[in-house]
Amino acid sequence: MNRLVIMLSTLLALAAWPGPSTAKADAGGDFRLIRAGGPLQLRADRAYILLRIDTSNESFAADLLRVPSEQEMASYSAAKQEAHAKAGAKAPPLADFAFDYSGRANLYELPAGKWFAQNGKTNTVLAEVPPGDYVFYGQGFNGYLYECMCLGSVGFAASAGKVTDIGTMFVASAAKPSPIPELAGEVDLGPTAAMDNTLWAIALRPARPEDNLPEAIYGTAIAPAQFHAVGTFVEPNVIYVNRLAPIPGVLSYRSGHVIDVATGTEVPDH
Amino acid sequence: MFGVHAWLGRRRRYNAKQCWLTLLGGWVYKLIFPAALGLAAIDTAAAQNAAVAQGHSTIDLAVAEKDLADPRKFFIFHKSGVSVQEAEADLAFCSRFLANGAQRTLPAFVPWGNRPAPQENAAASTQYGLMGAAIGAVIDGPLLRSRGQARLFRCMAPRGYSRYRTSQAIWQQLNLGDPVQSVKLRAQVASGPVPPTPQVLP
Repeated sequence: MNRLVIMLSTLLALAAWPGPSTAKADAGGDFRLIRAGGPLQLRADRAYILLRIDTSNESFAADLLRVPSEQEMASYSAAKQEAHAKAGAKAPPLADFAFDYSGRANLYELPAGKWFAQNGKTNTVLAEVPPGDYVFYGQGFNGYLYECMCLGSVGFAASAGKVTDIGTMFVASAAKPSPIPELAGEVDLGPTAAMDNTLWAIALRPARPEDNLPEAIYGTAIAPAQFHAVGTFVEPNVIYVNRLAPIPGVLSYRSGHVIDVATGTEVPDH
Repeated sequence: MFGVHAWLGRRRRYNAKQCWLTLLGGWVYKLIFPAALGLAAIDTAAAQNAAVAQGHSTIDLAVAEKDLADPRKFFIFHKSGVSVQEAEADLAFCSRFLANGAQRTLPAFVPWGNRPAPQENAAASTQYGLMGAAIGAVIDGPLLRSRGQARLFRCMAPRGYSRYRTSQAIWQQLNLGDPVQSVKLRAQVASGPVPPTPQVLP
């Protein structure tokens, strides 16, 4: 019996086995989570992203991607080519060459556990980031990217000297029904969505005037994010692929194709 | 996510029996398992080539109830009214999400607009010691397969495809072998007659 318990617990643990650690890219001074208690002084050369995370079901993280500049992409490509050349004749073709880049990072984790403010089951996370264009890239936990929004997501701009409120993130098991209205159509998918790992349905409710704001935010320049639909993209280094739940006026799907609601057109794949 | 760290962390020493089991597990994974899969793939590829050359699926999809495999994992897609070309395009599109690498650790750099390559996978790692590598090696195959099945389902279902139960043997015949031929074959099945096996709901 003990052996059975050990085997089962091992299998369960391995179901979420994260794999090997890889060299982390350098977030340097680019990214900082602002925690509760300290005074909030916005820097003119930095942008701020505010996200509420509903932790009623699980306490996960939102993983946000900053769209890299051409210079960043060029630096990455040069480093990858150099590593590929060093790897010699046994290396796979450049496109298939797995490469751990230790240069400037552009994928950041906003974990529910590192909150700036708490209101019941809703944790508000505040991040200081470089100004730029961002994509709601996926959902993660403990520093690992678990699920990408590869089948459709949203993007937004974060301007310098301002707090951009991207609303509230909701999470529920995609296998079972959920009472969260934003997740309708993304849940109750059945047991295929809960085999060795759980597929999580993710929704982002844009900021509303009645949403709770931490007192420390009062008086700062804050504005709701202006979202646009983002087409499909490929990310193999995850457990699962999923899509962000539709957002009225912003994001919808037609036979699996990503639709920009504002224009009614299909968004190209990346 | 923490379970394996904690479990392995408590086992600081391996006795001789554990070490031999570990090595045996590694050999099974690295030598015997791929060899068996390789032989199966050759047979599958030959059957797929023959079926695709016919222009329509020649695979008998009828399966006795006792041979129907786990409906969470082993299913075939079908969509009434879809053309074989549309089905092929859908399956080819969704197959791009099957590449499987180790999870990213954050912060990270993602070459947005380029397609990232899969990172080294768990089974090849010895991060968790010999025992961890052996356990990972044995379990990684089925684990990656079920992730692939769930990913494909998540992509195909919104495109209007229903799922029908099948046997593991037919599933392998359709899904293993040459990826291009496999897509063609599954497109023929998806656009053909409604499979005679029970539908997977939901």
